[in-house]
Amino acid sequence: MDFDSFLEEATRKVKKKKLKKRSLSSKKRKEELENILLDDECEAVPQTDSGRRVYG
Amino acid sequence: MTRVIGVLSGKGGVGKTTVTANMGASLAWDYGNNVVAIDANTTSSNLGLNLGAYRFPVTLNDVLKGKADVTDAIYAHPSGLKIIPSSTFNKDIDADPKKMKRVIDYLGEYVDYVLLDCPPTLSDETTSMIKAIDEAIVVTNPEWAALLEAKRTISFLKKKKKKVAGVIINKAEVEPEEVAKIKEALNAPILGVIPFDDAVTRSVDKKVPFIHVFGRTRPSRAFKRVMEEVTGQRFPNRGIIERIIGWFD
Ligand SMILES: Nc1ncnc2c1ncn2[C@@H]1O[C@H](COP(=O)(O)OP(=O)(O)OP(=O)(O)O)[C@@H](O)[C@H]1O
Ligand SMILES: [Mg+2]
Repeated sequence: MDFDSFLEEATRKVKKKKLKKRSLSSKKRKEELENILLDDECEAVPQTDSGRRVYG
Repeated sequence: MTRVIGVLSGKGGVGKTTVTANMGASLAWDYGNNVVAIDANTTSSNLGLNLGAYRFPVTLNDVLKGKADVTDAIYAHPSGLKIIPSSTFNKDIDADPKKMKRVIDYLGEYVDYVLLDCPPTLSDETTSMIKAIDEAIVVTNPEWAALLEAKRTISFLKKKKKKVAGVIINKAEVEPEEVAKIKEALNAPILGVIPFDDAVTRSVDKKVPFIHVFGRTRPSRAFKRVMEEVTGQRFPNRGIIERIIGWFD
């Protein structure tokens, strides 16, 4: 990728994610955090070809 | 027990982000730990870029501005490492770094390591990050300006009663006598010496940490030894041939 197209891609507006309502009880929030940190229940960064070769 | 480690330097551009990306991915992928790497550069972030991503819908800045919950700003890298990236947009530079400690206390319960890719200098932002950590790894290059800033950072850390886990001498070809001199001058353990090598910059293009995409190159062999120093455990699956080559590095 050349610098111009990189710059265009990197500075393009990011679509805002609709955030979940945070009225969860602290127990529920802890459960959610646990799922994210221990079971990968979160958005993944894009995989690249090199990444796929290394991490499968 | 969670280890909250800040990667600091004083001088800019010495290799903090490179170290954080490689250490984080290695702790997760090779050692099988639960690890979160946080881009603590809220006004000039590039940890995401080193790990193959630079566009995130929710970032640490949103969390520090009270606009989002930390659970919304965590992303999974294919190595298993979790990343909390910072924003790359100027509209977000007003994030309050003083809230960092709260974010970390919240995460700490579930993970083995939290790594903070800290900003250079000893600005308010950096000192807020230092408040949030338990121990530090200081990255430096073997040149006067970087060493002076490293010394100053180490003094600050000690004054704040933060453990200095050690120093990584990066982008360096240094003889053992010089390493000994640096160790004495900085009054801190040396975790390793990483040579200057274009495998490091090429790995950023590949969007995968060099320790994984160019695992057999000199910087990777050196970094594996750093990993052994940091974890106190042998690097997993490092073959006998690689160990023998390592003796001659
Ligand atoms: N051992 C090395 N050999 C060759 N290039 C390296 C090495 N270590 C780091 N670099 C390159 O040096 C540049 C600066 O590294 P990096 O971004 O990690 O520094 P930094 O300390 O995080 O900078 P800043 O203070 O701006 O946050 C990058 O282009 C990186 O790829
Ligand atoms: Mg950096």
